[in-house]
Amino acid sequence: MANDREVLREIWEGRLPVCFQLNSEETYSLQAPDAYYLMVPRLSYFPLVTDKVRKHFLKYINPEKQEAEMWLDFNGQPLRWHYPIGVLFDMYASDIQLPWNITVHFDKFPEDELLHCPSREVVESHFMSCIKEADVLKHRSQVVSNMQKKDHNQLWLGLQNDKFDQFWAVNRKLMEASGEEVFKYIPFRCYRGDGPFVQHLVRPVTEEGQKKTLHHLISEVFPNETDCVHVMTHGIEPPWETPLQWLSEHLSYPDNFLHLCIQTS
Amino acid sequence: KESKLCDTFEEPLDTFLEDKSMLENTVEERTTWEYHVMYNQSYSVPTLHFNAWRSDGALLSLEEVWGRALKCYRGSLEDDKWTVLTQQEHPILRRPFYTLHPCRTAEFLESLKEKSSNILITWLSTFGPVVGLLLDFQYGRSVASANH
Repeated sequence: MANDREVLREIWEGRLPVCFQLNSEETYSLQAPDAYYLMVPRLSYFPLVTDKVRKHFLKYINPEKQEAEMWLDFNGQPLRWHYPIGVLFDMYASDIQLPWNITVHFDKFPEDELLHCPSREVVESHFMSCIKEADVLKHRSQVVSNMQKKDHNQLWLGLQNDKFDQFWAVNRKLMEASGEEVFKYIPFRCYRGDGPFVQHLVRPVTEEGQKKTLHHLISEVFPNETDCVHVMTHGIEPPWETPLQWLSEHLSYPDNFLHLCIQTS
Repeated sequence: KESKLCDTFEEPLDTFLEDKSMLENTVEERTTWEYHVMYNQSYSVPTLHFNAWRSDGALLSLEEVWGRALKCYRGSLEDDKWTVLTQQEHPILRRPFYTLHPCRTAEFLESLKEKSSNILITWLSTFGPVVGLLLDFQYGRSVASANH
């Protein structure tokens, strides 16, 4: 049960300062546009918070490209919009100085690297499929499929509109261990360098029923490396002794997954 | 047949070129499809990932994929298309792939467990056609012979 409300609130309110600039090659007008500054929520997704960015830069690009899909890059790397903003930041953290300088594009969409995102429905579909997957991992019975559509909508609206209470009114049900003391498996993803993210089946307790910690998880996923890795999430390095069950209940993103960025020292 | 061909070529060129059906018949739109079958650990089921490209190299859009893939299942799947078939990141290759969502597969396979000697072929022959993947008849033969 995610009962440390203060922690939940702090996590929810995480923000990052971003400086958006139009790709100079796409400036059609004589005058280059001003950069656009925005505080973005760590827990959200770029397509949900960049409507004003799009509006700001559209008038400076080729008038024939007004319907083009906007995409972002940092340091020449296209940003995967389907990862929560905070995850993207933590992945590149060592290369970032605030404000986070991001380049805006409307041309040459990198189809072999980025999922298309022509509408909010795409984001919603992705978000809900993560929630469902997390539910399958956590609960023997399926909490999400037993919920009404209006509950699903409430999760999505709570996230979109930055409404903590609205979101958690439903999410608390997903954070309950439903009859058991702990989740079946902990939903998590580890990001390291350029490779695909790592996802394993990890239980929150040992076979003897002892609570497992972050250290246990990293030992299972990256054996023999625990001495030389740092784990970052939400811009912090949680202590190695943090129980996995607590971590999952309190430090998961709205999609109900723990997203852990692994850096080697 | 041969004489008919000669007839066509003996038509005055103007008439020949104005017959638009001739032009349509010679334009072939080829789509290249690539399929991957992966095991989804979270749902404990196989999942189907695929991409499709036009002959100019452009990826088919989601709307185009839905249009082709869900043709035979109009009605029930139409309403649920957002939860059935969307672009996702390939778990190993990290590139975008159209993916059949695994949530329904688990239920479906559970109901078939006792009845099939090769659950993978049963799964693929059921879900494959939804996305244009038709299995060779030989696969069916191997399952049938195993059942006897």
